[in-house]
Amino acid sequence: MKILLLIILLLTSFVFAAEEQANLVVEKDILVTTLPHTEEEFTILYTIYNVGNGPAYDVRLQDAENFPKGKYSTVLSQIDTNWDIVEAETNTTHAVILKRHAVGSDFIGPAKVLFKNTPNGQDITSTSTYIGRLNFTPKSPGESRKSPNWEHWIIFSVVAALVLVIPFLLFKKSEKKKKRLTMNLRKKK
Amino acid sequence: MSTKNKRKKKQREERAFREVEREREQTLRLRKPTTKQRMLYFFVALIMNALPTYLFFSIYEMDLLKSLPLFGFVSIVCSIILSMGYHNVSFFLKHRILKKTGVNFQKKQTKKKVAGGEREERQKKQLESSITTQSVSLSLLYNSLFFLVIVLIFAFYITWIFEAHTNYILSLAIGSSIVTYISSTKIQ
Repeated sequence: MKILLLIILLLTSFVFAAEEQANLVVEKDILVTTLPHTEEEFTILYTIYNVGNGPAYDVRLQDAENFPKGKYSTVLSQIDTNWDIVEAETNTTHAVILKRHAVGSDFIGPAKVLFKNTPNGQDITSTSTYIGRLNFTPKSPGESRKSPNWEHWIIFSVVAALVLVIPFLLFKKSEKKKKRLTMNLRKKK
Repeated sequence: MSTKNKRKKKQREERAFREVEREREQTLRLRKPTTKQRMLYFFVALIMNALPTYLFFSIYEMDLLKSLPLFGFVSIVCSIILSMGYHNVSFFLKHRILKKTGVNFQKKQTKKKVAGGEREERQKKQLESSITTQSVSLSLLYNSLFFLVIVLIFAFYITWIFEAHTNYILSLAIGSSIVTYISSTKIQ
């Protein structure tokens, strides 16, 4: 009896092991070095990892709820997208560039990812990580002025120096010639 | 007064009048820039206006394509104003250097051919052209430096509170106006 139960358990475990299942882990990230201001572009990156042992079919990313059209506009790409298949032990990414128009604070929640284990199977939902609260303030006119901008100043200084050196060299050259000619004319007198 | 003394006095007055007229003619000749000089001043002024424009489009993040008409118009107008300032300083410097050399640049109108006279005239011409080069190059150097300093002070310390486009117009216009105004006071 015990041996029979063990055999049945072993067989069922093999069956379950043979059944391929996708398992999607979704990461949602904002790619900025400083907090974005209103009318400033920022990038949202979605990375979908299939950590299961089977492919995920008909994968759909839905995140438009977190970025309503009245407040945000897409600059590049689109928020909601889909993939036909995401193979097991692979990942895929999707990036969208957005801009917020109004001043305010928003909680950027998780995105929803729907997928199927088989082409005609049922939908399975997975949620991504979330970004959290973002405060959008208007950009002050002095902000870019305060940052170092070393490379721009170096380029400006080099070009200005080149432009000013040329008249200086011309002045020195003509001064020597003038001295020589003045001395010659004064000698003759 | 005897007639002889009267004649001498009249001759002295005529000589003085001719001297004044000669100086006035020389001054008037130098006052107007030649076409070549005008083109040079305008070209250099355009370059000097382009340098702060680069800073505005890189640091203040003004859109280059959208603001191109504004950049073009303001640069051209300020270049015209600045080129007047260049000529004013160049004229003032040339006049001063000519006086300092102590050489008489007026052609001697004599019927007799003086030995070595042609060579002297050639040397005088060369001297005048080198003095012109000297005064023009010094004017370009001095005014350009002055203009850049004023524009940078206005753009980053005084008019920075305004929006980028307004800041650009104000700093360049004020810079070129101040340089030209101060150069015109030198002549007066």
